[in-house]
Amino acid sequence: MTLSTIRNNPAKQKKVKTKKQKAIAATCAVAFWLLVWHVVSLCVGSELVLVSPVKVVQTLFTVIFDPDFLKTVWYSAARILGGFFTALTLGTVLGWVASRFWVVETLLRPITAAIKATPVASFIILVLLWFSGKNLSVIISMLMVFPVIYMNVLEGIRSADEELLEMAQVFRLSVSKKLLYIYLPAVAPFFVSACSVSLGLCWKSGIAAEVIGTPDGSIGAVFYQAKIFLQTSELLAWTVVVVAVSVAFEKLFMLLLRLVLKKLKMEDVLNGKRA
Amino acid sequence: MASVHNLIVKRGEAEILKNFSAEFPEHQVTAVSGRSGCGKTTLLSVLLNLLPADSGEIHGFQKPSAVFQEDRLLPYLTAAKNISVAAGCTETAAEKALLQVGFDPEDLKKNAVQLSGGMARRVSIVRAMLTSGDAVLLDEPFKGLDDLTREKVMQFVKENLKNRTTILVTHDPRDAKDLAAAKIIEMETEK
Repeated sequence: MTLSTIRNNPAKQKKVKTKKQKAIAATCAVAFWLLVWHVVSLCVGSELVLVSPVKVVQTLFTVIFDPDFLKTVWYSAARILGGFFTALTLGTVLGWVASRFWVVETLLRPITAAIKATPVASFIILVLLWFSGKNLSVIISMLMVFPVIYMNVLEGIRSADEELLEMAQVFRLSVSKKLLYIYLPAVAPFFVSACSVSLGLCWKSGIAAEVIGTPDGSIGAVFYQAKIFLQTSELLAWTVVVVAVSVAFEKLFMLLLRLVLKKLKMEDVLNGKRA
Repeated sequence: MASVHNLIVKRGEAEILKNFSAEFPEHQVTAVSGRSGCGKTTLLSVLLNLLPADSGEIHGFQKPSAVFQEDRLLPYLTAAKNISVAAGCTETAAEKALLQVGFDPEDLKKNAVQLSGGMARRVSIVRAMLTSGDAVLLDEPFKGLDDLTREKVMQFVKENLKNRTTILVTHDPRDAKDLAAAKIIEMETEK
């Protein structure tokens, strides 16, 4: 059999899975690990050490139907997302300014490097010393997100096509046209990927901050209580809630970003189609 | 009158232009030709204020427009939008001009990234010609166009030069002849 006949033989070709098949496969994988978890929890035989997934689901319903559930989620979400949007604005503006003025970039370089390298626990303790625990998660999630957004915006601006910028200079394009037609398509892929990374990061760091700062009425305080009273099922049920809220917000935010790009007829930017 | 005197442009250690002097008569076409690498594009870049000269005297233009060697189109905009954004004309005027240079009406809906090389070239030419100003600098504008298309585009360029000072960089003697170049500068490669 020659190489070409092997290539042309459909039976030998790698099968391309449909979306439905992929979804079924993913569901089966999750079901498999839930089963493993259940079996291990039965073997361990102690809900304190390893609670079963069935018990977690039961607790999850108790948590969701608690009258204070939405209030608790809102308390944490408002602060964590507040930190995210503050970092988004600050990172974008400073990224743009730093791309124009090297002094600003030089000044910000050690700051961003320090934020990236410092353990989040150090920041949490420092912020607790300087401010109240109430707004701790705002500051911590902002600190974690800012370097990611700032560096990606800066990188995106620098990746703008030099030849197009020269064309803009020759044809005397206004600043707004340059922003919209040259810089925005260059920054968009960097910005979208930075947002995707940051949204997970802000929830992780925000909840970690709340666990240490334990502001009343926050998800972090519930986590802390669960730890004190050894309520493993409650801890895991709230973890599911945090993951669900984080993923839902990420999906919603990314959808809105894509809609904005579609409105600007730049949806191809994210597919890497460039001239 | 635009001119350069004793122009020296270096790229690293290499001298791209060495004591180059030339004058470009107003409201006329000056053709510039010469072997590849002799500095024709560099000369246009200096005149467009895109490249600084190492030394020499430069009298450039107030408001030039240009056809670059590369098409340099905004990839996520249609051909007409590309022209209207740069030239400041309406999209309808841009579409009319594109049809004049042999554009298929169906291609008007495509983004620049989806256009063929020949179509992108025509967009780039129309953009330069519809932009108002005192000069047009054309860097091998008809490169890659088939004879029939070249004829249509040449006709369009002639109609839209509007007495502007024009510098035409070309390897093809037909271009200088068809645009009735008043002056031809043959650049030499320095060895």
